Amino acid sequence: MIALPQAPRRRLGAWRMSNTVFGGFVILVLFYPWVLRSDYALGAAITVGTMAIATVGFVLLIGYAHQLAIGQAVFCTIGGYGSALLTSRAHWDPLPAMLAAMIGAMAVAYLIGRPILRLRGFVLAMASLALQLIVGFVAIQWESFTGGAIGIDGVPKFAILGWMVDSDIQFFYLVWALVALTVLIGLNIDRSRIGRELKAIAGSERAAASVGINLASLKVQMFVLSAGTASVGGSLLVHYLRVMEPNAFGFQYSLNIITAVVIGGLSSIWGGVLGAGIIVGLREALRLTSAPLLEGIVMGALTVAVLLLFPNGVAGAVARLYRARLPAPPSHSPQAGAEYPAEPVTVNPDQAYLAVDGATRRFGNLVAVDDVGFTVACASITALIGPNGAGKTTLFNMISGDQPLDGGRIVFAGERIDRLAAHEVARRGIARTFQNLELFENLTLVENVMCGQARHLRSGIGAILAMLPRVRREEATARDAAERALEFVGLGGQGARAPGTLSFGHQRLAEMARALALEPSLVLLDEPASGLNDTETEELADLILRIRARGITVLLVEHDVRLVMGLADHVVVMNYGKKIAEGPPALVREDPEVLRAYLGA
Amino acid sequence: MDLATFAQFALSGLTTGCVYALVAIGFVLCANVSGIVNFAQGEYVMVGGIVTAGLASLAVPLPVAILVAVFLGGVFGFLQERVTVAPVRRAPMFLQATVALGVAVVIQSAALIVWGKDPYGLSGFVGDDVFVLLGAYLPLQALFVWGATAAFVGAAFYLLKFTELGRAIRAVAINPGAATMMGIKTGRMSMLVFAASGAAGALAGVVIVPITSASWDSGLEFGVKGFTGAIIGGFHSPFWATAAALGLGVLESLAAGYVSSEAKDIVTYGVLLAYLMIRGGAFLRGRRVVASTGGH
Repeated sequence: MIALPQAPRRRLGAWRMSNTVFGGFVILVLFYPWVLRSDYALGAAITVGTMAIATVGFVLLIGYAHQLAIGQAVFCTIGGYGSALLTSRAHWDPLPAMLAAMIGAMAVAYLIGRPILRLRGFVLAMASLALQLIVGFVAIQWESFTGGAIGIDGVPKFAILGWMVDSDIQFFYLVWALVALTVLIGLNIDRSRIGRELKAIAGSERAAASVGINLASLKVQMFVLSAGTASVGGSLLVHYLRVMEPNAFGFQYSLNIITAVVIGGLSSIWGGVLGAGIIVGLREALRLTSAPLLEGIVMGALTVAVLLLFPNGVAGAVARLYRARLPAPPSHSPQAGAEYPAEPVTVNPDQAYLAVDGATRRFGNLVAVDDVGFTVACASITALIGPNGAGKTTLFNMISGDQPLDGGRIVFAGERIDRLAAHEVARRGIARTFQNLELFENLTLVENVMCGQARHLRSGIGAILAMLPRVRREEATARDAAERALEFVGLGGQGARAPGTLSFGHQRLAEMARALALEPSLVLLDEPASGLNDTETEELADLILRIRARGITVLLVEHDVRLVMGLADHVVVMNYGKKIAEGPPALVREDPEVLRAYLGA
Repeated sequence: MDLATFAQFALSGLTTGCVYALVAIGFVLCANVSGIVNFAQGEYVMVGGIVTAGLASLAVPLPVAILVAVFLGGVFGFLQERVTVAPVRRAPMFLQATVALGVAVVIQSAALIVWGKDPYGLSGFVGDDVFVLLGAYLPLQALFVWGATAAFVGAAFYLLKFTELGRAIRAVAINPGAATMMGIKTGRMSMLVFAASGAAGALAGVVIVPITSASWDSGLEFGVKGFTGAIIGGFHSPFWATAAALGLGVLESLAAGYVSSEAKDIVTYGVLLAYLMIRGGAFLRGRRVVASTGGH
């Protein structure tokens, strides 16, 4: 293997491509008013720009956080009224007014997003619609404040620190500079740990939680960010039109935002810009051909058709064309024989590390786990075995935080963890693998493993948006760690591959590497040998021993009794939800009740 | 408090609540059996109402108009499932929901093109007389609304609880994988449920149109309110969805009567928002199975 120690860490092709695209975009914007010298073209471009600011933010929400908000335009309404009221009534300068409105919109998004995004799935969609209907209603009814159905006119032109944005051309540049800024923010998030972690959530929510990614908090961040951009888009359009009325950003505008992002491309930041252009163009075309009645049906049908046929929209189609021409990215291969984690975990070996006490879980009348208790010693290998349906996996999921307890407690390193959510359990240093492999198919191997580093990354969304240098340093460290973890499990140099291109056995190893990237003190392995052939099982046993040698405690659920007996220091046997035996393998093997459970007597 | 006034508000609320209930059942059935939150659910109410009133205005006999409207609701539901639900069965939930939203827009805009912007009214099935109940004056049409809702809900419960087909549908809702292995055709159940939900929505539209009239954009409101009922009912049980939707109708009407007619919509949407915020925030700290969907 050719070692490339100094090889660039980033996927070079993708990086260069997005820089080229951004450069092209800037040139296009700079020359647009001078090539198309018409007021109509300029006005249309301003309309597109104000919408694009909202749609780029919406891409982050729907395409990255996978949350649909049907009433997104409510944040444009907040921005619009905020700017209109603060400038025309309170005589604020437009810039601080816009920023204040933006902060207001983000605060509203945070207030409703934080509780609601903890619920599963689709509820934000309707919640945002309800919010939009309420705000629209209040705007019309509260006449003394909002001007009622007539709205607020006399909104001043935009000005920055006293410099009046006088002409349409100046306003065009202002709007598109902000589009460019929004795009930069979006691209920055896409390339950061947040982008990676959002993709991980899209790949498998369960696995994402298992490496310590806080799903709800990332979704809230994207919702708040998208609300902020929508608000700015709303403010700018109001300064352009010089009036704000309640229907300016109604349900129709919400639908336009959704349709724009769907057509432009959900999974690309550029999809927001493309989509805004396409939607405004389409709407103008229908208006010019005097077929405005067709607008709704064309938009609706396009939304459905694009999602069914090209779910990644125009941007996705373009990116696919480009990507096909790129050579496969070179993979970075570190020095051979890496130990991972570099510093062995040090804990007091006499202390009981994990203590399960009276754990109980019921499903209706069935008691899947019935008052089970055992302890796991530090740096030991403990195996949980039992016939099918014994409740092993349920108990396992109770420890990892995937299942609540109906009774009992679980203590890890002196702290109760039975009430913690899965990602909080992971953040305390408990890593796990899955019986049915839950790798993030939409990420490369090394990115998969980097997700395991989530709990060690300190830079939050603020640092990422500010492009602080330490963000880049941290990423490099995480990538190094991930590559060493891959090396440790025997997948060195494979980092650039897609998980789906690996053999089943190697995918299993990749999951082990991802779990190890947490630098955990306890790993939970859910039937690690299932689906492996004899050679692979031997390699696995060797790897588990090497993991323990790093000072990491191992708890595994396993069917392969031979593997368990050769490997484990301590065995816990379950049957019908109850613990029936516990002890060193040699003793458990002779236990009459265990024999009965396995042989059925 | 004056009983007659209270009854007046509560019973009119119950009447609109019936429409929300039929929409809510549709939401719950589609979500649990097909795994899709069908944001087009409310549009079927509009289809039922506007088709009946529209055909009646073209001098089509009322019973024929009603049958055509309900039948169309079923057919549209079926088509929606075949064309836009089955192909994305394995797609992420946000994508399925967005597709359903697109379908809602298509149905709405098609109605705008066919029937125009103006609302369609219709006189009551047996005239526009009123009757008195607990001191409240109610249009005779309300009896049709209650009757149709009771009939549909009753039939649905009988079907789900006591027939082979109902067991199959419930099996798919509980565990589609296992149901498939038992030889249940999940795709067929999904089709059936969508057709039934479409027909239920249309039926609601048919019986309510003499009271509220129908226009191309009236489906949205029924959709959000039916959804609110479904989510407060837990999104799993048609029974609780029905109960919650009826309660919502009553609550809304009381708010309109005792506070102001402007308060009506604010109350519903506020209830939805507040309910979701409390569900998500106050009672759900830490590890709990936070399920409110039929997503598999």
